[in-house]
Amino acid sequence: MYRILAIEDDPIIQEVFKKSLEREGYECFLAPRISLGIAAAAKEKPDLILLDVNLPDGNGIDACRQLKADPIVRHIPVVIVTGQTDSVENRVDGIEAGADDYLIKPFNTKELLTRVKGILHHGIRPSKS
Amino acid sequence: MRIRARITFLNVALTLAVVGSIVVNLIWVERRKVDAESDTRIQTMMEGVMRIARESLSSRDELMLMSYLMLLQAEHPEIEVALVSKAGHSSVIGKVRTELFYRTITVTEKNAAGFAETAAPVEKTALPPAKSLLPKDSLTIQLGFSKTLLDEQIHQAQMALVGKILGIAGIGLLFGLVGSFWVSGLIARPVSSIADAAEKFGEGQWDVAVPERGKDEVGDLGRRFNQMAGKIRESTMFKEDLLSTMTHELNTPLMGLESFLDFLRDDDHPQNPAERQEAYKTMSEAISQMKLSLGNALQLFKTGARIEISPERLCVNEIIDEVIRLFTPAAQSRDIGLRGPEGGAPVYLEADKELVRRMAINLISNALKYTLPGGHVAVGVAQTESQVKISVSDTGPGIAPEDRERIFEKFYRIPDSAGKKRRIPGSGLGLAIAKTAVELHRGKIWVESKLGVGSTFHISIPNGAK
Repeated sequence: MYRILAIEDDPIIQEVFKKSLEREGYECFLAPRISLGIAAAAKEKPDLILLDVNLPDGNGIDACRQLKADPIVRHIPVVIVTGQTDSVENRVDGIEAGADDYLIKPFNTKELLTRVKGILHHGIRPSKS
Repeated sequence: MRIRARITFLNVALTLAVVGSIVVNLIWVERRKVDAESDTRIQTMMEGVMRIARESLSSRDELMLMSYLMLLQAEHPEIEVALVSKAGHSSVIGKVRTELFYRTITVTEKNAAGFAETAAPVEKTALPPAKSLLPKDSLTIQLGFSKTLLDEQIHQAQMALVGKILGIAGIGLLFGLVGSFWVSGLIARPVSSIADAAEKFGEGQWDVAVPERGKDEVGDLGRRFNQMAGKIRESTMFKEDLLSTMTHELNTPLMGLESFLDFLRDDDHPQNPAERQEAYKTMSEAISQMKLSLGNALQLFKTGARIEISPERLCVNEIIDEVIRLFTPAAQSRDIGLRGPEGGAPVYLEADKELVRRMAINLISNALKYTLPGGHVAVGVAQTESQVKISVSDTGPGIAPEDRERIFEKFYRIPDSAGKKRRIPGSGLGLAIAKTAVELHRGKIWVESKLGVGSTFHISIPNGAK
């Protein structure tokens, strides 16, 4: 069973992640802060990280760089979750920071699952060369 | 350029009319002067002749008169003939060549000299007038002036004068033309620059501004244009920002609603009653969040339109308790302790009830948003002689000192590490509305914060504020 870490502070989106992923048989655990998320990633070594861009204790793009710089967790694929208005800048920045894919809010659950499955089951990482 | 052409044309026409009438008057006056001068000259000549004639008569020296007349004729070519008659015999000096007019002087020895003239043109072969009637010892001198030569002299004098006057008039006209071109430019240029700016503004270039030179109507027009553009710009940007913030704030709960509706409707994964309850709870939380955002947006529109506040005497504790009841389910579901003011006498305030409620709702929802499960949010109310104070403390991440002022801005964007603009999620409207509401009551709002420990938002409103 794949284990997915969602670093996300909004309670509603947390519920959406949890519910839709668990229904597909993934284990989903949540971290509402970057500091907690990075610690959880190192400890739990999930198979995938969903990372929000706007978090109370910092920027998800910087957190992505931090994750990708750490030899213990750098292999874990990261999906950046970004709002529509900031999407272009954040997509570019996220890919530069080493993110494997991105998801634009508002997303529907099908879109979320397609991205997650693509990476976990088929190793699809569209933006990486 | 049309105004400019019109003003130039009008000015030139006006200058032309003024200069033209001055020229005509001047020429008329000067012409009379020249005519008078010519008459005076002839008069002087005649007086000279008369003096010599009298002398020659008294000294019986006719030769003196004759040589004087010859000299006069040489000096003044306009005198074509001079006819001297004395005691029935006449001598003529010169020849009649052109049309003449005659002046006649008659001098008698006894009487004082007198002279008379015949101004009417006389035949070429004019004879001395009625010499037989004159006494024998009288002397009659007739001078024939050439009309052509005299007219030519007058004409020459006039032409020189007209040339001078027209020259001056030409310079005047030139000054008028240049001046009116310059003046019309002064008026037309700012007007056309305002027209250009208005066109650009209409195309959506919000940063245009026109120069505000001078204190006249044109300067006024520029100032008012800039004021108008500023207001439209501000209002448009405000609406754009509000729309973008609203989209941002409504997207998340909408997405939650949609997702949970999908879960509930999905027949492949039927939900058990407990799961259904969980879904309803999340959906209702999403709806509350949307209501808060919409209420805030509406409030911003209202305060943007500067609606007067309607103060009433209200119990602050009651409002805080009501808002705490509203948020208690959300706080409990996230395991956050939410506490209201404990003990103490109820605090009363003269203020707008809806605005005070908005302050409380936004500060409490903001605190809950940034507090982790297991954390606490506490609301306090206090009163001094002149102020009512409300405080909301959380155990959130804290706010960096450089952001403590800016979080109250309407649409707060902080540059990220790469200097690109980005919005803090959700905090866009709430704190700005709290600040507006406080300021409408002439109060103050500020935050004390310690990174990693938490933040306390303080509101202080003068009691009895209007």
